[in-house]
Amino acid sequence: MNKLRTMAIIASTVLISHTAAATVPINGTVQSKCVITTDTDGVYGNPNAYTLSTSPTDGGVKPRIRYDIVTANAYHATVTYPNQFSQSPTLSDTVAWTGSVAVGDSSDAGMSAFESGKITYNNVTEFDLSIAGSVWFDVTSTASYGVNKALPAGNYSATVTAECIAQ
Amino acid sequence: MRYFVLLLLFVTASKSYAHEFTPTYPKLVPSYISGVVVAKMDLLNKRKDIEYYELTVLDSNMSPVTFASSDAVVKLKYLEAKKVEIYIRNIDLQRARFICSTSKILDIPGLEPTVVSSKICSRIK
Repeated sequence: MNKLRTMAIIASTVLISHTAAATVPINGTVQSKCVITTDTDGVYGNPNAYTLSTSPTDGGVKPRIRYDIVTANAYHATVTYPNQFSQSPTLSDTVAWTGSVAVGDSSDAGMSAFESGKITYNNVTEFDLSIAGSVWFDVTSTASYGVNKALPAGNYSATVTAECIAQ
Repeated sequence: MRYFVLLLLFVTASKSYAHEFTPTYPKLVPSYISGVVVAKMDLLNKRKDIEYYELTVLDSNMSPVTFASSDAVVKLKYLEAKKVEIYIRNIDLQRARFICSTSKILDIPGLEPTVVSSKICSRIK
């Protein structure tokens, strides 16, 4: 009789634990989104008296921006390199700005199409984010002061704008 | 060497700062005010270097459209998330195409020489 009771208790315990383990749902939602991450803040190098450049050969550091795209064909990216200083000493002459934006790295080999399909106008570069994943854009920026005129001493900063516009 | 690589990874990871603004396609629902619709947006600040985000509503030419919100410039601490409500009049709905958030860069002494401004726009369909 005792053996029968023990077996009944064990059986009911197994049944209870089985029922409890079977009713734990995990729900998730994947929603379209674009995340802009600044991986590297740029630094201007000063290769000569009249130039500031983010090129590593000039002693600078290129700003690097990462875009994480959850859903393909939901966004396009617009990256703008600077055409003015946001902070500088008083400048009495003009500054000539040049720059470029290029795909530096990507999580999908197919994203090389972003580079070949990019649209460039003025200081703006547009990329159609047609593949989901992560893509890194490298920005170069060069500022030349006057006609080989020495830049005044002081702090200089400029802003790169990274936009993600839903399609 | 192993500790150096780990330290390098940690330093590299800690330099990544992100900005999120969702949903991509917000739903506009009638608000408690007659003739005004509201979109509920989620803003997340994962940028240590940014504390303020400006909200805008734009048309297809990226020109501003009138809207109302409790804050046009939202203060968000690092890793803080906030739900923001954007109120748009029905008469402006034909023009309104994008709801955007833009990071605001403050002129702080000792700021890094080059700064990245981020802007994310959701589309009104």
